[in-house]
Amino acid sequence: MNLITFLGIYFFISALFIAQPWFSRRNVVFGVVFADDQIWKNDNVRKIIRAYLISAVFAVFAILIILAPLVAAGWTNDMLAFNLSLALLILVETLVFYAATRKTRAYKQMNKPDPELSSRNVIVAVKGDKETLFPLSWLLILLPLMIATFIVAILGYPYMPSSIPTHFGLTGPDHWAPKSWMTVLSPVFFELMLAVLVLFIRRAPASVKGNPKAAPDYARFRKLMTLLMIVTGLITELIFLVIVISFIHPVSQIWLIAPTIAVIILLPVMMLIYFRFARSKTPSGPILDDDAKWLWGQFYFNRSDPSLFVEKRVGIGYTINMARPGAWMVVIGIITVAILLSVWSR
Amino acid sequence: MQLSIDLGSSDQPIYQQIRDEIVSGIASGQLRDGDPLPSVRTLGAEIGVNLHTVNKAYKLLQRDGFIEIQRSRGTFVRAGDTAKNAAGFIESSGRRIQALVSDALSLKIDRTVLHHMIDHYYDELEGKGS
Repeated sequence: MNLITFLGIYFFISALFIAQPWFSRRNVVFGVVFADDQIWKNDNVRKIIRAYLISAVFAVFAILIILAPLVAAGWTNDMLAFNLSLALLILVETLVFYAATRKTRAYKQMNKPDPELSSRNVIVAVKGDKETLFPLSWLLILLPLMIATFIVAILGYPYMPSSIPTHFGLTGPDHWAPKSWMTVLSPVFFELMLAVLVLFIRRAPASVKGNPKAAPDYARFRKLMTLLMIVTGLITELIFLVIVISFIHPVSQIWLIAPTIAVIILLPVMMLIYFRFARSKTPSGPILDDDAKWLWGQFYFNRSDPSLFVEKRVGIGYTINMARPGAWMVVIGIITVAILLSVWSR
Repeated sequence: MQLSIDLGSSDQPIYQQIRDEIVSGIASGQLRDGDPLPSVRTLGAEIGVNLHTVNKAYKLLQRDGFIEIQRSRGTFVRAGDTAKNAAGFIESSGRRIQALVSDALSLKIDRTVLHHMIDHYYDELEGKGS
C-alpha cells in the first residue's frame, strides 16, 4: 500500500470518527441526554465540544507521529502499521469521546434537574406493528439472488479452477485460495448474516425515549434505514453473484466496479437520510433520562430492555444491548464466521 | 392513544399499569373495537421492559375479554361483546370495590367523597373520547 492511499484512508476514517457526536439527536451531547433541544448552543457545552475537537484532532496526528519512526526503522510492515494505526485511532478516539461524556455529565449534574427529564416515566404510542415496522415480507426480495449464488456455486463447483480469488483490490483479484466448498460458499454465508442483521434492525427501538415525540417520526426513519439496508444487501448480493460466476467464466470488471460504486454512494445517502429524518427533528415532551444505561456514552447496557439491537446514541446505525446474552451470541457468531471464512480462504 | 408508564412505581407493578392504561383507553373510546395493538416484543422494546411483563398484561386483558390475540395476525382490541363483559365485571369487581370502601371507611371518608371521585373519573374518561 502506498503512502497516499494509507493517509487517505486514515484521514477519512479519522474524520468520520471525529464527526460522530454530530450524528446524534439534537438533545444528545456526547451520549448524554437533555430535555432542551437548544443544548448544542449552550456556552458550557460549546466549550466541551471545542476541547473535544482539539484533543480528537491532536490524537489523529499524534498516532501518525508515534508510528512514523517505527515504519521508517523497518520494524513493522505497511499492512501491520495500517492496522495498528486504525486500532490505536479507535481506542484513543473512544477515550477522547469518553472524556467529553464525563464533562457533559458533570455539567448536567451541576444544573438544577430539568422537570421534563425523568428517569421513571415513559409514554408510548399504541399502534399496531404494521404501522411501525417495515413489512417482513419485503425481506423476501433478498432471497432470489442468494439462492442464485448458492445454485451457481453448487452446480459450477466442478468447473471452477483449483485456485479461487478471495480478495479483490482496485485492479482485480489480489489474493487466491485453494478451491473448497468453504471458499466457494462463503459469499452465501455473508448474505445470510446480512439478512439476519436486517431482521434485528427492523425493530430496534430509538436511542432517546420518554414519549412518542422524544424521537419524532422515529418509525419512519427506521423503515427508511431498513429499506437502505435491504438495498445495500441486494447490491452486495449482486457483487457476490458476479464473483461466484467469475470463478467459472471470465466476467467484465464493470460488473464488479459498478455495484461497488453504488455501495459507496449509499454512504452519503445514509447521512442525508439521517439529517433529514432524525437530526433535523425537534424533540419535545418528557424525555427519559437513561444516561446510566449508556456506558461511556455509547455502549448500551440495559437488563430490562428486551431488544438485542438498538439505535446508536451517537453515530448512525445500530448497536447491541450488551445486557442481552442473545445479542452477544449474534455478534460472536458473526465474528466467528468471519474469522473462520478468512482462515479457510488463506 | 398513548400509554403512560411509571417504571419506578413501588405500589403498581408495570404489567398492571399497562393493563389499566389499555382498559382506560377502551373506556374513553380512544381505543375502539378492532384497533391493532403492538406485539409483545414491540411494546416491551418501546417501554424498555421484559417481554414477560407485557405478556402478563396481555394475558390479563385477554382473560377479561378486552383484547384478542390472534397467533399470526397480531393483537386486537375487543370492545364489542359488552353485555357479557359487563356481567363478568359486576361479578368479579365486587371484592375490589369492597376493599376500596373498607379503606375509605377506615379513614372515616364519607361516601359522598367516593361518589364524587367516581363521577370525576367517569367524566374525565368520557370527556377524552369525545
